[in-house]
Amino acid sequence: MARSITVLNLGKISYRAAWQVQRSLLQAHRNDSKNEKSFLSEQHPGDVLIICEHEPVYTVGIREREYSQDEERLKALGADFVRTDRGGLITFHGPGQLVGYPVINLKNYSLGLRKYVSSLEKVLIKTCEMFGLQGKTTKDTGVWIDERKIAAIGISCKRYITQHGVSLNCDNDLSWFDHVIPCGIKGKGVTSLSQELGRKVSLQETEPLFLNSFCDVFGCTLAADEKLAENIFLKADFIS
Amino acid sequence: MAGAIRGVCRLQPFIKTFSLISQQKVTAFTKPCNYQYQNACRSFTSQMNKLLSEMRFTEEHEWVRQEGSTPHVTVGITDYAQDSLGDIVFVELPEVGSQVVEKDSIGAIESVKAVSDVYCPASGTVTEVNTELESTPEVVNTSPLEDGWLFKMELADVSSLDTLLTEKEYKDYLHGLE
Repeated sequence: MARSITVLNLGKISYRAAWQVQRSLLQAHRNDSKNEKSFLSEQHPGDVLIICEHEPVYTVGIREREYSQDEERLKALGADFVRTDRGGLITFHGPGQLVGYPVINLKNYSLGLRKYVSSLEKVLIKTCEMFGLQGKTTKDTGVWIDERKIAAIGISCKRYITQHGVSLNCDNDLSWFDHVIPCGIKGKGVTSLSQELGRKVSLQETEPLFLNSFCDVFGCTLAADEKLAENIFLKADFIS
Repeated sequence: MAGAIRGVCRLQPFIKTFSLISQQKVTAFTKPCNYQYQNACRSFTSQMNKLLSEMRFTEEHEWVRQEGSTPHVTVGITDYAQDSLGDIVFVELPEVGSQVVEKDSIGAIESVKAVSDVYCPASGTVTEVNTELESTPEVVNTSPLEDGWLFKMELADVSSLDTLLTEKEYKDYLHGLE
C-alpha cells in the first residue's frame, strides 16, 4: 500500500522560519521523552513535504569555515546569510525558486542516505522532463541541463528523519548566483526553467508537476492537511 | 573488506613473476598460489570476525570497542553505515576533553550533499579524535572498523556497555531494517 505524505505549502516564508518548522516536525517525529516536545507533537504529523519560496538568502552547509569571509559581503547585497547543518556547500534561494523540504522517516521507505539523495535527483529530473527538458546527474550532485545547474540538493538526517531538501530554479533572478561559486563547483553556470524554455515558467506552474514526480519516485500519495497548516500559522511564534 | 583487497594485491606480483617464466610453471605453482590466497582470505575473515565479536553496537550504526576491561573505548561507524552514506567528504568530531552524554549528537558525517549525525553511545569524556579524517575522510568508507575510527572516550560507567547491542543483536537489527 502506498505511503501517505502530507504536503504543507508554506508560501513565501523566511528561510529561518521554514527551518524552524522542519525542526518542530522533527521533534514531533521523535517520541523519546528526553526531547522537548514541539507544538506539533500532539498532532502526530507523520511524513511531511514542505513546499515554499524564500526571500533572497545564501545558505551554507556544515563546512561553513570555508565561507567565514563571505557573510558580510553577501549580506551587503541585501540577502540573508544562514549557516545550516545540511550537506553541500553554498547556495542561494530567492523569489521564483521552488524549494522542497521533505521531513520524512527514511525507515518508512527503506532508503539509505545515498539512495535518498539519488531519489531526490530523480524527482527533479522527472519534473524537468515534464517541461521537455533533459535533466541529468553528474559527478557533481544536483540536476543539470548540459553544463548548467538547474536544481540543487542539500540534506541532513537525524535518526532517520530528513531535514532540508531541494531547490529548483523556475523564474528566479539568476544574477544572485554570480556572487558565489554555487555548491563550490567552479566553471559551471546556473539556469532555470524559464531560461531554458525562453518563457516565464512560474513556481505555481511547476509545483503540481514537482509533486507528481515526487509521488512517482517515492511511491507515495500526497494530501494537504488544513489543520496542520493552520496550527503552524496560528501557533508558531517564529512566523511573522 | 579493505583487508581482502590487500590479500589479493600481495599475491599479484608473486603470480606475475611465475607467469613470466613459462605457462607450465604457472600451472605447477597454481596450487600453492591458491593456497596462499585462501590463507590470506581466511586470515582476514577470522581477523574481522574477532574484531566484530569484541565490539558493541548502537541502532544508529556506531560500533564501540573496549580496551581490555578498562573504561577506555574507541568509537566508529559500521560498514552498513558507511555504505548507506556513500562517499564521505567531511567528518565533524567532538572536542577532546568534552563531557558527552549518551544518545546526544556529538558529531556529523557529510557524504555527498547529505549530513548524518554521529551519536554518543555512552556517557563519558572524549580523550582523542582521529585527526587523520580531516585530510582523508574517505578512510571511513574504506576502513570503517579500523583506520576509520572516529574518537576515543573514557566511559563514566563501564557497565553502560552492557546496554548496547551485541554483534548478533546488531545483525538481527539490520535484517529488520531490510
